[in-house]
Amino acid sequence: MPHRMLQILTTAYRATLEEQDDPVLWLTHSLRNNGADVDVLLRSSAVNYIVRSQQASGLRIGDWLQSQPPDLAFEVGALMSKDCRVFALADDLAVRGIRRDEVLPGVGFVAKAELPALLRNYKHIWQW
Amino acid sequence: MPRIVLTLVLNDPPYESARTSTAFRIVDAAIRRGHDVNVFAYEGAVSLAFARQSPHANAVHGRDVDGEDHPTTSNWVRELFELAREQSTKLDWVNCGLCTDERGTDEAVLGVRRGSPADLWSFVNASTNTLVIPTR
Repeated sequence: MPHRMLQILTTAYRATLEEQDDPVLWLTHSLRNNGADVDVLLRSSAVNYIVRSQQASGLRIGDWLQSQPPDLAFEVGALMSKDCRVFALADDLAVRGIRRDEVLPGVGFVAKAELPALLRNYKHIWQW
Repeated sequence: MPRIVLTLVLNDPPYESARTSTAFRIVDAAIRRGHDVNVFAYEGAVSLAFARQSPHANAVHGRDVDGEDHPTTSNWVRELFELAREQSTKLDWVNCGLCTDERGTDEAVLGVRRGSPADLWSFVNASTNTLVIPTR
């Protein structure tokens, strides 16, 4: 089996305003740019990262205005454009009331019952 | 009407949690409304005001230092002090001294002072209310 890696991202919006990105998505981009064969599974609150309409601009502290706010849906889409496969746990989308017509095209949906079959495809599984 | 004084106790270090940007927004909003604000930075939160933080380029985003315009929490602290000056309110920011010693982060931006839980107790006794934003 090649060194395929799955990043399981469970915590959304962790310091994303400060980092102007999600630290795990950023690391995944960087690993991919360095040749890693890496996919992403979004679960729990992180399924919100594929909602197209999210918008995080406007942060202001004193006179400082954020000019490069995080754009998590863009970052997820950019990963897919690098041939990373992105999955979202369908159960976690459903309990949050997120409809499939609201999310990025190209994301794979998996049910909890399908996770064992998905996880068998990877040598490395990192849960964040 | 007596002046409103708010005390916030912060615990999270920079670049770890959404609670940090929320705390800064609360302080910003309170100052804009003319309230005095005390901040007691405890444990990892003492690094929020660490003066040697610096913005960086971001290769993943394809932006240089200027283009990335990366925020630092120490600059946010500077901004809050400047905002308080503009609004003629008082911002008193105390870093737990033992916590800075443990972390080697005693170089804080101008206006931040070193203190102890005795300062926190003074804050509490002089405040309209106190909000603890705990870490997890």
